Amino acid sequence: MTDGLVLDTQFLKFLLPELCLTIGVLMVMVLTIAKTRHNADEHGALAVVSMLFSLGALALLGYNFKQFVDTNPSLIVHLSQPFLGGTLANVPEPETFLYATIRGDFLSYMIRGLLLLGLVVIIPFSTKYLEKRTAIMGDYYLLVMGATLGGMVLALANDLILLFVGLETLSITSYILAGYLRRQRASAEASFKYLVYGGVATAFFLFGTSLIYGLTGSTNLQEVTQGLLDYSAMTHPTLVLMVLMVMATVLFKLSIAPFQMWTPDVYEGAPTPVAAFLSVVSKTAAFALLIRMFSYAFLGFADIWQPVMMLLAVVSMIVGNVVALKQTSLKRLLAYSTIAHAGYMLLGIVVLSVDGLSSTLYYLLAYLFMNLGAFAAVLYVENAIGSDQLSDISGLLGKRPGLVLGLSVCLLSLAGIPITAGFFAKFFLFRAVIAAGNEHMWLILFALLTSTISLYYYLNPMRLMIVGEPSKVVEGLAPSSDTPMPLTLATVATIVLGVWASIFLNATDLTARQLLASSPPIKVEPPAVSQHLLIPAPSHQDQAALHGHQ
Amino acid sequence: MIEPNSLVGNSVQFETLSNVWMVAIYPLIAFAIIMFGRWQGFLKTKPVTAAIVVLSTLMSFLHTLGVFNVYKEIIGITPTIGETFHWLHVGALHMDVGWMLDPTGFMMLFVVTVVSALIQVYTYGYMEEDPNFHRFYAYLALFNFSMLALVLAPNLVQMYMFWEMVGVSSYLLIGFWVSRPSAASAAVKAFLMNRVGDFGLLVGLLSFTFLTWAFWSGDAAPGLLSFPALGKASEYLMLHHGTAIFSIVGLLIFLGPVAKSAQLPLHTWLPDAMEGPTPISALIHAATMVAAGVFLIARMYPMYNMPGGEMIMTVIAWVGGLTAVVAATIALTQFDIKKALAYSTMSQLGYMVMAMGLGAYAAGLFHLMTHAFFKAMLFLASGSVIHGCHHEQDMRRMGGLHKTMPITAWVYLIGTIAITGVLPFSGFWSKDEIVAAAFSHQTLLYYIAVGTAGLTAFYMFRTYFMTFTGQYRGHHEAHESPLVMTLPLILLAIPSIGIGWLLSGFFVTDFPSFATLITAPASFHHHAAHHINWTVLGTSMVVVMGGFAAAFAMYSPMRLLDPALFVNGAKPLYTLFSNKWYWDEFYSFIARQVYLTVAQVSAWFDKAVIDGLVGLSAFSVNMSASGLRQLQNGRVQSYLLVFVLGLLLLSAYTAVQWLN
Repeated sequence: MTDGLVLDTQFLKFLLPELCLTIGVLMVMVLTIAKTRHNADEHGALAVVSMLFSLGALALLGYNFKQFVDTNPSLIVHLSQPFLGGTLANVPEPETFLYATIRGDFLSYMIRGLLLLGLVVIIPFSTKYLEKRTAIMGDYYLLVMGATLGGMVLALANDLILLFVGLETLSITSYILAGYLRRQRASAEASFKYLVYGGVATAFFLFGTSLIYGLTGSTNLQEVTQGLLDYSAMTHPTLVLMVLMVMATVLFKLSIAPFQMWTPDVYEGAPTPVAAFLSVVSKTAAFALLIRMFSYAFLGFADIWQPVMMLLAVVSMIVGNVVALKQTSLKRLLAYSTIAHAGYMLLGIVVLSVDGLSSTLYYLLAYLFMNLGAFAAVLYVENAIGSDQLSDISGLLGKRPGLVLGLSVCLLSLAGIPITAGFFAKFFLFRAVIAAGNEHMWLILFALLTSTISLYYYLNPMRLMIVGEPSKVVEGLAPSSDTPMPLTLATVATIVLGVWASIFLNATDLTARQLLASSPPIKVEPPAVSQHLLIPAPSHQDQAALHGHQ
Repeated sequence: MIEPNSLVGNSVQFETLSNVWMVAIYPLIAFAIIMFGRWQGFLKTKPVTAAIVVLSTLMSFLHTLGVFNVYKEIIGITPTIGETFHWLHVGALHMDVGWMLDPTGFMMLFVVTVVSALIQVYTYGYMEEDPNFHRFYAYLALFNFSMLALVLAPNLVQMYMFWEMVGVSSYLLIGFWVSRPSAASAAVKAFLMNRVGDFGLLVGLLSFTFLTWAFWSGDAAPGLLSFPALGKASEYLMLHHGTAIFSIVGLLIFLGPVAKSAQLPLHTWLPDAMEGPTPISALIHAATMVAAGVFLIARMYPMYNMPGGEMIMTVIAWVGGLTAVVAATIALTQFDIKKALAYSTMSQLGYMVMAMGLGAYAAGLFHLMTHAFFKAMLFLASGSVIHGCHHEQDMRRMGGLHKTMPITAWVYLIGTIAITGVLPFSGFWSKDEIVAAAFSHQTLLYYIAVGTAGLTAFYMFRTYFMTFTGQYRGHHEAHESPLVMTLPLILLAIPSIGIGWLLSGFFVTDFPSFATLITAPASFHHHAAHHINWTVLGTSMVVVMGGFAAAFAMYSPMRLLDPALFVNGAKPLYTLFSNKWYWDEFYSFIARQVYLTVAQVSAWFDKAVIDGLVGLSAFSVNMSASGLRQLQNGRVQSYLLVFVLGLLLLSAYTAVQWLN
């Protein structure tokens, strides 16, 4: 912990991206208030301002990260060298700022980067959609940037209070965003459902964290983590309750079954760009929360939550993939697909290994682009034919070849077809799960089985668009070959990420190592959980480094 | 990301050497320009398209030349130069891409670029009337890219990728005249035959990787399957898995060259591939792509030519020898000028493969080089004849073309003399070394090699006499081809005559001889070919003269002997040869009788059992989907109920777990 009374200004530099985004939010707010008459030009200006500040925040983050790397010479060797399975000893200790409420580790950089990337892709394609449907645009940018800001705070928080503030900033803005088209019944309904459901979940989270505070007398994540180690679930059953409460909230955000019920309704009712935001940015932030709480604070009690989460991951894969088969709306289909993908990503967390965590982070990156691409394509389809029903998109290839191509690549990636990022994400993830031990084979079995099922509903829209007879709405459409920029970007990124996967794996691997190196040891409680769960087959050097940290 | 690392320990750094991969990129750029230009519709003039492609090949050639000038200085210090970039580094897997060059690689680059450039010029004349002119040039550029990248590959992974790429280019070009059913089926045949070989190659590479995984996965391990590390990896394979496994893996990899270089028994696609336009036959199916098989054997030499690899080497030598003689016997009976040349190509490839199998590394590659020049020239000349005779390929309807097509006739004669191996034409020098190698290693193969030389002389002069001498037997007026076609022919005639003695090291002593330039990597038993074996030379000369005399007697205008005499005299043999040893019928039997029966049985099994199971599972998934969907009733109350119930169930689950 840092010295109490001296205010270290280092933290300001670390928070530059957040500050930049905050200024952006304020700018948009001022612009919105100053103008009473809304016209198309102003919408464009707002979009540009939001975009500039988001990009600025991203650039500042990159600059920050570079400085961070420069001050850690051992890192430079690591980042420039190929992934060779480096040792834990090389990983720098995470730094903390502002009375240890902020944590500047790799995870915070990575998650914030992902959130900002998502925002940068979402802003341009939101404009076209909302312009057609509402006159008030300013608040949208304000909210979407604010929500991202909440997610970023969540990613860097080292204190339960700050964590909660970030979570609530993200949640409340999301509720409003879901109901942004308030004159549409579906949108309002989505917002309300999300609010009620989210409210209940938040209550559980508060209850869980209050138990933590009660047990340890602190809200600082490091102290909490150390403090919790004094307790055993045998003597304090509250511990189990606490873990389950926090878990329920996190899994609700991730839409893991059985906390997934809100997802399809909200995604379908909410404006499409908001659905894209919820499925990618909100989910990435939720993963940050999950990793902070479970791969760090509760890692000592892995034997409580690990079996439960494994079960839920499998249930999500089954529910998401199976119910998606019956969907007739593209947005609903993608909603179920996100449930299934959350299940896959959870696998990397529950196996408690460096490789698992690293591949989940890579999966998040791949998922960001392929899912945003898919949502962007759906959005443009909606704009063109005014519907996202599968029966209406039939035969679209003849009229919008670029759009169909982009959507197809993203769907193939979601299905996990080679050379796309989706394939490599699944590949690395499954490999990590297999490497974590034979007792996890059943997880792989279910993952493969449900992936096979998912092929049907991912390929079905492609089949319809490419070989299907043109539907009535498509027939009336004027042909156009232009491919929207965000879609192109996401599509290209999906392929590039697949082909050059190794660059990103370096970073994710380092993140995972740093995280697990500072985590507490797993407590071996009555149902024996062996030490090898932490890192699959570590070298002697690794083990020495690990024990050194304990 | 880019980390140049010299493949050998030497740290000689030259600016020129840092972007050698561009050699392969020029044709790719040309390909992209043509595709883009045609798509956007601004590329309409034929000369421009042709010029782009020819220029790209010339760029590749000049770049190679520039690199070679630098390389010459360091050849003594470091025979292998290269650069690799990380492609896929995950865990223990180190997959690299990059380039690598050694004298063998340079030789291939020169051959490919020179022959390609000349053929691309020739193509302008040959394909001018074709409606798909631009597409043809685009494919040529694509092929060039694939072939050059194959030669530059620093490891077997990259080589395999481009190995498939040249296969695809070949498929596209054989079936270029898509409206002809025969061309389409020939393309499919070539593709399928190569699938068989490539599958063997793939299985071989995968098993090699799998069996030597520990070797490739250390911290300081070399890039996966990189050529400089192949020798060490092979030693590892031998040490840990024994000779039997080693030989099986080696032979599986050899299946790739067997198909690509049209060796027995995967050869039947090559004659059919002559359905493609003649420039393709010259470029891909005579000079370059089919030689890629020999090149792969050369690259695999660290493995094949090590102690314990004798079995592999013997098999390679025999496959090559048998192919040489079988193909030559078939060539005796062909009347289609391109088919005769195709079988001749196959036979010459057999020579090269045999040389590789006998450990005569330099001789095999030398023959590859000389053959590329004279065979490309022969094919182009035959193309000129076909062009001049209005797409007539049957030699029985030619004859006497010496008068109407003098240039073509002369170069064809030069090519014929070169391929028969008459002193001092190029074929002599390379073929003599192979025959000499056979003489010192395997007596039976030596007889085969010499006999094949005689057969070669016979069938080549037979085609010459039938086509160019005597009376014209065709219906249309024949005419000489335009300059754009004859000029490449003349230019190709120069190396066909001179490259042999220039590089043999006998007459031009201040120029390094081929055998000193090209040496086998990690040679186990090195074949020294620095001297002429006069016994061998004399014998093969006599046999060649015999072949020539027979052809002269039967097919020259004097007609001293009637060929029918022999046809009827050795009826069974003739039938066997003219039916190509019944290989096609054999495969057809396998496909129809054996394969189809098995397929029908499995089709039944698939329909009745598998489909039933699939249908059942699809049905159950569908039913459960409908069931699960019922839960989603749109009411937030019931959603929350599920939430709370779920949480309660989880608590109960955890509690039960803990009580146990």
